[in-house]
This record gives sequence, C-alpha cells and structure tokens, in this order.
Amino acid sequence: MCVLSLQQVSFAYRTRYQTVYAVKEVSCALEAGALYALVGKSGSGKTTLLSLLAGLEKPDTGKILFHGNDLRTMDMDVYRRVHASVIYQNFNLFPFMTVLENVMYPMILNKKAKEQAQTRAHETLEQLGLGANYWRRMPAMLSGGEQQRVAIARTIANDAKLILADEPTGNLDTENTRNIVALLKEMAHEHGCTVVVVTHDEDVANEADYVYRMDSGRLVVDEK
Amino acid sequence: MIFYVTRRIRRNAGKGFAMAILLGFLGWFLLLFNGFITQKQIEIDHAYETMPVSVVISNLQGTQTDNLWIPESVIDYFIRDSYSYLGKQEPVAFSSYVKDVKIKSTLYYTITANPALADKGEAENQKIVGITSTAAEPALSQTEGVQIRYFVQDGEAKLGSGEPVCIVSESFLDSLTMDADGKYRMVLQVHTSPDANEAKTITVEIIGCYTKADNTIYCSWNTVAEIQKLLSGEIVADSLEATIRDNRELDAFRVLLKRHFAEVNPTGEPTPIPNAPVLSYFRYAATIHDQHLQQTVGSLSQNMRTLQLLLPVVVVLALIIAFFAGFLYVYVQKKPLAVARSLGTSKNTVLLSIVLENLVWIAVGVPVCLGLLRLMYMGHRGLTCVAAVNFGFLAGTWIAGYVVCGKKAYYSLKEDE
Repeated sequence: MCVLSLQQVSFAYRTRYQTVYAVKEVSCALEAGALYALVGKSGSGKTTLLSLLAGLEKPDTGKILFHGNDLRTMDMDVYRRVHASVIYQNFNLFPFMTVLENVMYPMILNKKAKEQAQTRAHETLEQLGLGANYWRRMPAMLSGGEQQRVAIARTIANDAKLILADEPTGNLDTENTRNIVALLKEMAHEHGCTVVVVTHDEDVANEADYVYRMDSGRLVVDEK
Repeated sequence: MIFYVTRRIRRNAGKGFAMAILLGFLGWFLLLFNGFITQKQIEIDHAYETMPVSVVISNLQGTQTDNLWIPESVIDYFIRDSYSYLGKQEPVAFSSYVKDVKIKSTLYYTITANPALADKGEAENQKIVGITSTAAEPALSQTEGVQIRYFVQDGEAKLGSGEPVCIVSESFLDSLTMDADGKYRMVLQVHTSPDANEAKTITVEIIGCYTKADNTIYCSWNTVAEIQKLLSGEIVADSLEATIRDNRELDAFRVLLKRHFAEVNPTGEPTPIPNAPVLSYFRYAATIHDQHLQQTVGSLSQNMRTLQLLLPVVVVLALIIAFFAGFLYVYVQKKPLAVARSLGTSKNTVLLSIVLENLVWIAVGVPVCLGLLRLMYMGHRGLTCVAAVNFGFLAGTWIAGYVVCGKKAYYSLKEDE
C-alpha cells in the first residue's frame, strides 16, 4: 500500500543573496511495512527531503500525497500529531519531563485519557526494554541508547504509521546502533509502519529494504 | 497544554521563582520610587498644615509693630464674621483666613478699693493692658524670662475670653489679700490716659501672676475694649497680629490684604489705596512671614519635580528589563518548544502555554512585591506601574514565543547537531 507519494517535488532555500536548490524534482513512492534508507553526502538534500515528508517544509513545486491526500491541503499540526513522527539524532526529549511523561506527551496531545496514555506508555517502554525503574528518571540520567529508545517509544506509543528518523544512530555506539536499527526494522516489518531513515552509516543502509541515494538534490534509487 | 505547563513549572521552579522575584523586585522598586514622590507630597501637605505663618500689622516702614493706634475698622477685619469691600458684602469673611488673632490695647488704672494701693507707682506706669492671649504681649514671653502661673484651670483661655479677669506681677500680688471665697479681686478706675479725668470703675478677678517686677495688669482684651468704647467711643489697638488659618489660601489672602494694607516700604512713602472714591493712603503695612514655609515647600517641590521627571525613565527602564527578562526566559526554551511543535503541538497552544506558565510567575511575583513593600505607598499610580512591569514581562514572553514558533521547528532542533 502506498503511504506517501512524491511527484516532482522541488524545494529551494531562498535568502536575499542566493537560492540553493536542495531538492530537485524528486519522485518516489513509499510503501507501508518497509524500511527506507536515505543516504548521500552532506548537503545532498536528504535532511530537507525528510523535513518535506514530515510536513515541516512545504514543497515549492510538485506534490506530496499522503494516502492520496495532498499534504498542502492537510493541517500539518494534525499530520505530525497523528500520522507522522520524527526521531532525531539528538533524541530531543523534553528535559523537564520524566521518561514516562515524554512517551505520554504525544498521546495527551491527541486527547487520550491520562490513564490510557500511561498504560500504553508503560507497555511500550517495557517492550523496548525500559522497565519500571526507568519510568521516573529524567532524560539526563539515561545513556544515549536509552534516550533514543525513549524517543522511539514516544513514536510507537502514539501509533504513528510514518516514522521519519534523521540520523537516529549518529550519536550511538555500535551495539546501540544495532539495537535501534533492529527496532526500526521491527516497526516496519511487524507493525506495518513506513520507516524512512536518513543516515551516513552504510551498515544502517545495508539493513534497509530500499536505499535511496540523494545527489545534489536528486533522488537515485539504489541498486538494492 | 496543562500537561506541558505543569511539568515545566515543577521542574523549573527555581528559575521560575527567580523570575518571579525579579518581577517582584522591579514592582517593589517602582512602588518605592512612586512612594518617594507620594512622601514628598505628604511632607508638602504637612508643611502647609503645620508650619505657622503669621501676618503682622506695622507702620509703613515696617519698623514698628507696637503702639500703632490701630482703629476699630481695621481690627474688625480680623475678628468680625462679616466683611464688606467697597460697599459690597463679600461672600468670604476676611477673618476666615486667620486664627489666633493677637490684639493688644492699653489703658491706665488707679486702684480704689484699697487706699493703700491707690498710689502704687507712678500713674503712667499703671497700665492695664488688654490682650487676647499672653502671646500678644512680648513682655510676657518666656524668651524674656517671664513665667506665668495661673490659680484657676484654663487660665490662659479665661484671659482670652470676655470675662473680667487679669494677671498681675508676683510683687503686686503680695500686696493683695484674698477675699472670703479664696479669690483675689481688685476694683480699678480705668482711664484712657494717665492724666484723663474721665474714668470707668471695674472689678476684676486676678487669676494668675507673672514673674516680673511690674505694675502692669494684663486683662482680657474684650474687657479693655469695652471700656475704651465707653470712654472714648472707639476701640484702638497697640498691635495686631494673626496666624494664617490655611496656608494653602495664602495667595487668596494676599489679595484681600492688598485692599487694606500697604506693603512695607523702607522709605515710608505712602501708598495710595486702590479703588478709593477719594485719594487716600494706607496708614499701615501688613507683612506675611512665610519665608520658612516657602523655603521648605520650595525645596520639597523641587525634589518632587526631579523625582517626577525621573519616574518615567525609571518606569521605562523597568519595562525594558522586564521585557528582556521575559523574552530571554522563553527564548532559551526554543528547543523544547520546537520539539513540541514538531510533535504536532499547534502554534496557539505553544503560545498559550508560554502565557499560562508566565502568569503563574507573575502571580507569585506580585505577593513578593507586596511582601517587600509591606503594603506601603500603594497608591493607584503605583499599582499601574506594577501592572506595567508585568505587562512588559508578558509582552517579552509573547514576542519570544512568536519568534521561536516562527523559526522552522526543525531548524531549531538541527542547530545543535
């Protein structure tokens, strides 16, 4: 099933002095239940493409269709709240909320009852190996890998079907990288999510079902 | 929004309290500054209310304030309830501007009841002086070393009343004997001058004595004035002085004063009376002794004007500090706010959460301010200043919120990578 469809999408960063074409006429289709890796050199446009997919930017030309609906006609706050979820290299947890509260936040935002959100957060954290002794800790008390797992738990608990990860293993060691990639694969293959991972790491790219290479703003589908 | 705000407040209570204390301090400082201005105004009011200002009648050169032979028509200005000028009844009496009128009039006496006392001293030294109070006679003042002792309660008030009472010197008193009812009385023959033949006999009660070797008898002025009227058909005063009742009405009183009295002129050149049907000149000058009041009020007013000039500067500075405190307090939160935006929190929700959190700190800051100030100087203008500071703080947070939400959320999150 096609979840996201890009049709000749272009985007440029415009300042008073120059215009930089970050994404040029990109067309592709992202299916449910697959793990996509987006690789390329720095400045190739992969992060920009990810931000377009997340609705954080609007394309200058072309269309992005989510289940056939043009993203431009949708409320982006609702899109990010309900359908899409972004995982960052720096985890970006709320430093003033506990692990449990961080995971609960998107569900509270979607007006889920507090008890329901708490139960779901408990389940998700347990699933990711973060037991009850972690729930009341602040993010600063966790390791990088643990924080990234909390970020992933935040995504999973909210039942987002589109997971966009921007260098999720960039700050992690090898073992944690393996664990995170395994989690993302599980989300794609077992939960039917569409997972797009921007990465420099070839090992991570090798784990993906599809590899898209970005080169000077253009998308090239990898041989794989 | 509540979920986000309550967690932020709980975990950042220290920073929030610091912000609240800053707001409280700024509000307290503004109220204090405003209070200085109010205090100056209170001191000015106090000066007007408590500093005595006197008006003294003198000769035209201002060199003589006694033995002036002031006629009844002039005395009436100071004591009568009604007042006319140029034939028209004035709505406000001249006397309403003054109080504690000190009048002194002099007659002469011989004592008839006790022949042994009939020739007590030389005739010209046997004066009976009518005074409205002992303050009207400089010879009875404590600065002259004179002490007065009364035998009755409220002796000073009795002396100022219309009763035929008097005080004499101690040496004079020694020569008198008490009546059967325990009081000292004298029968006097009163003349308008030492060599006048016509006299009026009066009986006076002695209610006190003064420490000075003197034959002068000091009686209530009304008693002496009645005798003057009977003997010569007119009342005259040696001296006339009064205290201004309300110092704030000095300017209005000066206008009235100019109608009837000249200003002191050292050359003694007569001043024509304005609006007189026939050319005539003032006989007396009047001087208002308000230098101390003017100096005090002038100095306080100058201070107050300076503070009033500084107040807007101080308010603006406080506003700027509050604005930037609010702005920075929110701006440093741009990353978690960006996280919230990227997770789908709407811009309005983010802005409202900022306002809600900062209203909590304002709610804490106001009692801090009141606690610091202990409810002093809480005038209306002061509360406006406190509200302005809090408004500046909220404006700073609001604008920071717009700036943070305006930046692409994703870019804020990427800045640290």
